[in-house]
Amino acid sequence: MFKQLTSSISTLLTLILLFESALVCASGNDEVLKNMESGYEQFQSGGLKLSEQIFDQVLLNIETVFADSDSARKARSLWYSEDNKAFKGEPYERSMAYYYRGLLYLLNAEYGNARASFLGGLMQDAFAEEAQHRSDFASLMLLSAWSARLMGSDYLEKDGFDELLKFRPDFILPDATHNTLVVVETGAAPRKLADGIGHYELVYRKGKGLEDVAVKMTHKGALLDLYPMEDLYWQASTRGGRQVDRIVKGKAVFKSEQANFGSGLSKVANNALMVSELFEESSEIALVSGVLSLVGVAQMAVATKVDARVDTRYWSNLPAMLHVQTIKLEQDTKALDFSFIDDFDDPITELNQTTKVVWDKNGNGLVWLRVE
Amino acid sequence: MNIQKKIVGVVSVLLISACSSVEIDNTEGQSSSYVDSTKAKETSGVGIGSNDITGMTDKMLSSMMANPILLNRDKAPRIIVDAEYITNESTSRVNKNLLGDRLRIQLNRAANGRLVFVARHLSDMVSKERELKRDGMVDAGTNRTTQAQAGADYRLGGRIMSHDALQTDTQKTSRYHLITFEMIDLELGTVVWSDLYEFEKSAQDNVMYR
Repeated sequence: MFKQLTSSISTLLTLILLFESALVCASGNDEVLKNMESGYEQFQSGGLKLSEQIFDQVLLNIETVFADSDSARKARSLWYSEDNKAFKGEPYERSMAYYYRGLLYLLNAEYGNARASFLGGLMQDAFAEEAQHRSDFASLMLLSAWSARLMGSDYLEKDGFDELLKFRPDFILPDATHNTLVVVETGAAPRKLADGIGHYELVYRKGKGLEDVAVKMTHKGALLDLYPMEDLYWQASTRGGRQVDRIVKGKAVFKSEQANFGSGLSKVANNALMVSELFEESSEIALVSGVLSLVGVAQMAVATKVDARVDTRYWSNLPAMLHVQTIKLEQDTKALDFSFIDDFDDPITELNQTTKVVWDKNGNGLVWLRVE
Repeated sequence: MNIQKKIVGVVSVLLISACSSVEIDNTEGQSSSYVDSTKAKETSGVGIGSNDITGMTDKMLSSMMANPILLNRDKAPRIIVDAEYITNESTSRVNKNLLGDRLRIQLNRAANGRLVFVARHLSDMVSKERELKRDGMVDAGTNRTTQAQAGADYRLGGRIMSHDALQTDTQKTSRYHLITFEMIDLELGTVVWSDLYEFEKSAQDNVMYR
């Protein structure tokens, strides 16, 4: 009987081995992540057409509902980490993809689609678990309201600015004469890190780069402040838990319980083996302890293969802050001068620069600048 | 003893075997193939898809063709059908020319001369050619010469609107679209024809993305 039992355990272990060998170290499809980063690179370097195409692809992927997919199913299983799923980004990253696509639409004077993009980004932020931080991406509110103004819709503009003032009551709304939007991005992207035992907890850290700078621009000799509208670290870290976190945590708990149970069985087996010689049935006790030990090892083997790591892939060339302002410029204005002040109110003169004004076909200007 | 050796062997292999191989997605590729643009796609989200474009323009075509003010006049009216005055107030990004161009071309084909289509979207092209002719750079061609380009009697306008809803507990999203089309008398400013197309889509992403 004991031999049969031992044989069964052996078979079980063999099956576990076969199953385990079928598991592989895989990471999910990073196409969206790569496109987010290359789309931004093209945007920054002036490859606007290519950037449009890339961000269209990104948004197509974001908007495609993966009701069920192999990669998502795999990432959900006990044996694979979360990063086995195809990357779509966390809400703040998806929102920023809509933000860049919206800016590209603005440059093309496609105001309706620009507004749709900015609102699309705002909707991604609506998925936040914590109600007070749901859809609080104020810069997207400003940009959608600005787009509504450019498309000539008074009521959509008013709706947008009314919403914005709920979140940024001190922001001075654009004057009716303003025809140019100024956006300055500073700092480095928030980072994602895996924390906790088994790396099952997703945490955010500020990007390593320029922090807490104020931005000013010079126009006709006057120094104008830009409004620090958005902190991406705040957007990333105040979202609250994700539904997927419960699955990942469940994996971690399972892993821990399997390891503890396996370890407990092994200890029992060891103790039984140590005392077996005191009894007449020492050989039977030794065999039982061997079986228990094997089961314990099997449990621990299963535990080692449970992968509860969260997905820490992140859009690395995002900024930390968005500073915005609107202004009235003459159509012949070619460029604006920008200066930067650190948190001790000292100028950071090495960052000073001049940036060109891009005029669309309807005479509306956009100035965009990134400082890291 | 023999069994014990086997067990030890199996356990040893189990313990030392590590996650060492690399997965290669060797799913077979798919050659380019035609798909039915009038059918909903598996990959579509809650925005406007190709089947919505074809569905709504087909519906507008039928509706316009049944309009007596436009189609039963003794003298064929001149109309402008393009997307210039279709505004997108929705949360869906869409190339409005897909609507304007498909509608104009389908309508032109179906009207068979009962409507005259003014190509205002290409008026720059016409202006340049007229200038060349009048400057004597090119001859007058074989068509008649006119004082000016054609003025229109009616023009298409419209709005794309949407209303989004999100169930925060399940993160199920839905989007209702209402797309209105109106033909406006370009002298009186009255609406001589109007119709609408509406649809709602809902979807819920995999829990791994929530």
